[in-house]
Amino acid sequence: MASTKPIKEIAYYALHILIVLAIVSPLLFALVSSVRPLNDIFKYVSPVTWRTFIPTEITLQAYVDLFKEWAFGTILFNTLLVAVATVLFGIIIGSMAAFSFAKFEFKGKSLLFGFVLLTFMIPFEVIAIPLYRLIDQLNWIDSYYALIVPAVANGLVIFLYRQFFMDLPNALIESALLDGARWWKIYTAIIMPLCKPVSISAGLMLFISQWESFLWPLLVTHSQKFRVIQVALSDFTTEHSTLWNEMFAMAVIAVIIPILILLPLQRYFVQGVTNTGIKE
Amino acid sequence: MKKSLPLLLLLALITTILAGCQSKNDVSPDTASETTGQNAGKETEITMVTLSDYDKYGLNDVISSFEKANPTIKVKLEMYPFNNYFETLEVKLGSRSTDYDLIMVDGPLISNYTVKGYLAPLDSYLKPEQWNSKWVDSSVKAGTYNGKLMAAPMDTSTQVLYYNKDLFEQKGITPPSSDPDQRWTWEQVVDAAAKLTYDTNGDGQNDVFGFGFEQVSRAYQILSLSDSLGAKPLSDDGLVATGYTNSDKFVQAGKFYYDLFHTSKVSPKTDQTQEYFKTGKLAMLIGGTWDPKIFAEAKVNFGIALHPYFAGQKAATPTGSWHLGISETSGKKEAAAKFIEYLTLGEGAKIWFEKDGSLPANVDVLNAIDQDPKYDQFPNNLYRIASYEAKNTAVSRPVTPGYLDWESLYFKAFEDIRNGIEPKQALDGIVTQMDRQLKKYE
Repeated sequence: MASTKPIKEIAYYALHILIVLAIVSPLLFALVSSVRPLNDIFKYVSPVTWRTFIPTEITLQAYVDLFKEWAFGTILFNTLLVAVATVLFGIIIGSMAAFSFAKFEFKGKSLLFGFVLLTFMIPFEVIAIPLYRLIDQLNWIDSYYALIVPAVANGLVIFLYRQFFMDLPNALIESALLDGARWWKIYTAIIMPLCKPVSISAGLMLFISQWESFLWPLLVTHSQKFRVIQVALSDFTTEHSTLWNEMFAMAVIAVIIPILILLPLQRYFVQGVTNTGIKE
Repeated sequence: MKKSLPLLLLLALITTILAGCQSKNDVSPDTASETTGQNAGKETEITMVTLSDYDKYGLNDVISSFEKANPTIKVKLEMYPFNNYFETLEVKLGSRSTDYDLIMVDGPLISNYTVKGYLAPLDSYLKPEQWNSKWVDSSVKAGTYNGKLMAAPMDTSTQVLYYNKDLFEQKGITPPSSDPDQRWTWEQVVDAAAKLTYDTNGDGQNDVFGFGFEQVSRAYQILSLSDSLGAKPLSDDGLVATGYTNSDKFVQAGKFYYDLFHTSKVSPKTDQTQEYFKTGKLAMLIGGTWDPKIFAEAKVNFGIALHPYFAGQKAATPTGSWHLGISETSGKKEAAAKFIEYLTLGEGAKIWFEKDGSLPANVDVLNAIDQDPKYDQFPNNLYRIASYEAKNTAVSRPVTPGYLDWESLYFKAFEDIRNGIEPKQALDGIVTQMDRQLKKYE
């Protein structure tokens, strides 16, 4: 008995290390390549040796160039501004809409909610052209409005909040009404503080979706001062060559920022999602 | 804790309102200048859609000299990354927006844009006698659909065989030639490549390879194989692939491609062939006129030779590049046509070639390359070779409104072949899919 246990354990860890390697090595390659001179990046890819993953000549030039030549400060500011504004407006609008769907009775409620569900089932590519035409008519092309406004009302966020609100006992609201609270007071002082996990999940979802959004910002902005991170990344692939080290450097930063935000909040994220799954 | 959330919301509201104001301030100067431009009436501003960084590659120089010659017209550039350029165009042109006048379009997509009504015919602005003998034939062919000129060629392209001088020297092999009479055959290329494919560190795996295509499995480069055998990729109306893309000669071309990876194994199984060549892991590479700059920066000791052909068959080289068209919804077609004329037929063609270095489609500029002693020596002799190929051996890609559909299936079939599927099986399988896709353009 005693002799089989270590063998089992070794196999167990070996397997895990293998899986970790498979997942981490591409990221490691990106990280390593971002500190290599451009012409060295593919020097050590075949055959794969320790040199493939350990740089022998380290340079931070790619990172310096990002800020010097590619106006990375503006790009980062734009992306964060767009993402944060979408999160804030998205939470307010999404939760208010969901509150009315969950706790008010009005004509055509189910139909309207059906439309809300539809919005996140239709792929973006289908609505790209009409949406573009609308933004063009509003004269919003090449502005922050074009980047933020279409993303604010998110069907999935409304759905998340609604599921949570449905589980809240009506007695809670009724007693507040009896105490003389207005709807606004109930919403801001009673309902919203109760659904912090949902707000965090929804906020993260909106943040990530804006952080990752690419096609839409590409379509509606064209000047450098509205560039966001994903569009800027695609600028490194030119017609006939690719600036690998700068692309990897920006990709590393593009990955790190959401991770820094996600990690401390992830336990709420899971809680939020599981909460909404429970129905009476 | 309970009080903090409403406070947070309030803060959120304020920040976003501030952000909103800021974006408004940022936008207003632009829109203001646009409206005054229109109100003034005297000046016409035309907008050209093009690729990222093309301003730096020479378009700004062309524009400033154009504006000097035509003081009432201003040209504004809107630039998008190459990787997603076609999707972007599809949405912008599909929305029938009137914001764009000039559009840079890729040669093979002109017929598709014509069928969709994105482009205005140029015939009424540029008379055939103006350009008839001024552009190379393959570019005129690519720019014409149903007998009408839809877009004028900005430049064209060709492919040559680059080789690594050091690797050839080490193995004592005579390198390929840049003399049209001594053009290497594909058989010679594979022979030399076999000697140049070897293992450097003794682990039993080859890490230097003999030969590679820069655009792995892409129709642009790979079509030169079937073109050399005289195979037509599509029917004359561009709507039928069966019997063409799987003809015997096409399968023969596919077999050659298959052998590179599976029989002689002289090609590496990577699509980063340019990077392999840059780092000395590849002895020969089919590449474009844009490569020498990249290779020189990577300090590769390289030579330039002619694109290979099949023994006993004709030489055929890839060609085609960017054209310039006028958007059907543009309200300033007259001014836009003036810029097209300047860039493709006038002084602009020279400036564009000098700054950008893409192979010109303009015959006058090509003739100047043939005469100028500047192009006698390496590496500038590349343009002499390219000029010869553009005028003599260039075969343009098939003209079909379904080019993108056909090309992506072509890519799929040749990727399958590269991964080990029998060429006949891969091509027979793909033509039914191609025909189904092409049917919608009937």
